[in-house]
This record gives sequence, C-alpha cells and structure tokens, in this order.
Amino acid sequence: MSHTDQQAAYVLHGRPYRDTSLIVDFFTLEYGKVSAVVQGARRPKSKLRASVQSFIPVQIAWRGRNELKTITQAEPVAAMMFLNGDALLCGLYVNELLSRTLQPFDPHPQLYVYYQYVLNELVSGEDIEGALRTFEHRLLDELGYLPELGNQLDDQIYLLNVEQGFAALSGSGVSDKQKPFCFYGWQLNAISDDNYENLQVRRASKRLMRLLIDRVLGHQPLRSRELFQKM
Amino acid sequence: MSFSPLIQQLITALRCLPSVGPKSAQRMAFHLLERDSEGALALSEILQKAVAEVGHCRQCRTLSEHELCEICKSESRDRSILCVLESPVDVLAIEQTGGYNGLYFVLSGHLSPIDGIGPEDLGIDKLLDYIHATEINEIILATNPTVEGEATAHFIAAQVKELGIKVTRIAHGVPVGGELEFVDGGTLAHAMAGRRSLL
Ligand SMILES: [Zn+2]
Repeated sequence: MSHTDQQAAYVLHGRPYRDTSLIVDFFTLEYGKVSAVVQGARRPKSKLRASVQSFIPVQIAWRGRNELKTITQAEPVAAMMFLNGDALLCGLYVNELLSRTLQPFDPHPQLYVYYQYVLNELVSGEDIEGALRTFEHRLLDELGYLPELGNQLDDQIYLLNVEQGFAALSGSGVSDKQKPFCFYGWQLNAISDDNYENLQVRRASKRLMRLLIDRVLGHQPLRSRELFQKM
Repeated sequence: MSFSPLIQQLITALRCLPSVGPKSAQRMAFHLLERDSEGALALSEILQKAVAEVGHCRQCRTLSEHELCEICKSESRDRSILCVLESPVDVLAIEQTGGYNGLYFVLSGHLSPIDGIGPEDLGIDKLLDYIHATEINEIILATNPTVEGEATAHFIAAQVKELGIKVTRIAHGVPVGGELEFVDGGTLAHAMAGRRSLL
C-alpha cells in the first residue's frame, strides 16, 4: 500500500532528519506504529510544526512503499493541551514505553483508546498513578505478555515467574529471594479489574508491571524512569 | 562528469554545513578555487584556529575561546539571576533583545528519554553544582517551548526546589513547538518579560 486516507494518530517521538526535516514515529489508530519523514517540519515558519508535537491528536496521510513513509498531510485535530510538570514526564514515559514495545505496522486500536485515556488522565491529573497502571496492564495484555491474573484465591500467595506466569506458593514462608515476585491473590484480582483504590494494590501493581515490562524490554531500561528516580 | 579527487573532497567537505546540498557545495567549491583563493585561504586558516581554540566557558558552558567568556567575566552583569538555555545560539538570541543583564548557563540540548539523553548528558549536574556554589536568587528556565524543553525545565525546577530560589519559565508569546533561535526579537523580549513562576 503506497497511499493512505487521513489517519488518526499521535506523535510518539521526532528526531531531526537532514537540515529541516524530522523523522517522526506516529502511533496511529489503524496501523499501529508508523515512522515517516515530515519534510520541512523544522523550518522556522513551517505549518507542520504544530502537527509534530507529542500528546495532541493529529490527522495524517502518508505515501511511500518502504517502511519509512513520507507525510503528505498533517494537522492537529484538537487544541494544544500542554502537559505540565510530573504529568509531562509521565507522558514521556508512556511514549517511550510505546516506542520501545510496538512493532511497525502492527495495529492495536484498543491500545490506542487506552492511550487516549491515559493522556486525558494526565491532563486532568486526578488519578495519574491508576491511569498509568491501567495503561501498562492493557499494553502488556495487547502485546501478549500478560500472565493470567484474575480468578485467584484471595488469601493465597502467588509466585511470579515472568516467563511462565503465576504459581500458588505452598509450604512454609517466603524466602527473601522470592519476595519481590510474590503477590496475594486479592491483589492480583484487583489488578485484573484495574481497581487501584487500595494503596497495597497500587504498590503491588507497580512492582508487577515493572517486572513484566523489564522482561519485554530486556537489558535496556527505560530512560524516562531514571528521571523519576532522580526527582 | 567527475571532478579530480581534491576538488571532490572539497565539495564533500563543504556539505557538512547546514542547508548545503550537492549543488551548492559545488558552487562554493568553484567559487573558492577560481574566484576567491585569498578568501578561501583566510577561511581555512580561521576555521582551523577557531576549531582548535574555541571551547566552552567553564562557568556557563557557552562557546568561548577564553576559559571564562566575556559575559561571565563582565563586571556589569547581574550575578543574582541565571538564564538556562538549550544551546549557545540561544545566548545570542537573548543578548540581541538587549533586555537581559543576568548570567547564562547553556545545556547541551534537552532531555529526550527515547533518544537515551538524560540529565548528565545535558550537564544538569554541572548546572546544579554552579547554582550551589554561587549566590543566585532567580533562575529563568528558557529551554525551548517543546515537549522536551518543558520536561527539561520541569526537571531542573524540581532539582532546585529546596534551595529557596525563585524559578521562572519563559512562556508568553513563544509559539508552541518553536525553537528560540528562530523567534523574532520582539516576541522573545516579550517572553522574557512575561516569564512565569514555576515554583
Ligand atoms: Zn561564560
């Protein structure tokens, strides 16, 4: 396919290309991650500048037979909603997570909706943490990296093996080595429902998502996470 | 047609300049060789000298051939106020407005986690050392009004939170997604005047 109609998209990341252009990674509703050259986007007066900013919904069209497309049209469909402060760093984290995990032209329309949800939560600032956990949960699920979570016995302790999923822990006590991988059944049930009202569930969920995401990413940690650690 | 190796090398070398494509590089090469060999020699000499001698000011990190740049050295600058920028070109842009008389600190760009660029890569650690070592009481964060520029400003603001320093961010009038070096002087002066407090 060498041509598209207008596609709903968000900018995940842009990097300079030649003197005045950008290569932008878009997260599109119908095609998943699409990388494209946006010609002249770095010219001082380019009208495309507003369309290559992260966190605003844009409509784009592209052409080209190779994996790297060329944008023929791009315009924002909503007013700029600038994320501020910690919410902005969270936004960069979500974008980095998507950039690292999505494969080109692998569509995830459901995840796109969750992406919009998490951005809205970042703007409203009401429950950023819950929104991030929900998004991570849905991302792992969509990409097929989520072990079966729900229907666990509330009081049972489960041990996570990131490759094989959860196994009920039997016998006497939990060793220090196992501790980071242990979760109560009731915590997993709550996470499965994205119910993050309980503080312990939040903590458990953060720990669980991190273990699972790290497994997906391999040895290269997320850089945006380091920013939070330094704050 | 192909050029002799030396001419070809010159053309290729000229293409390291921004906005210089193969055609312009050819034109420049022929101009230098045929019409202005004196200018070409002067250029090559000063280029070599500049590249060898220009480094970064040890205090503000802007380009300078002295250990301490003219601005940092100047007696007439207000040493209580520090403007943080993404690149040396931005110093020039703000100097040209004529409305600012404090000191600068130049980062090497902005935070960009996806590109693997973190605080140390920008010299934020050096900025913090500098702030701790001096008696600055206001910091103007004049990083670009892009997502990454905002993130950089926020990160720095959070790092200096405990120091009781006034932290402001330029905002007014600078177009979203814009880069400081391309903003006209009037707009930029306005932006400096209309800076808002981050902390
Ligand atoms: Zn200096």
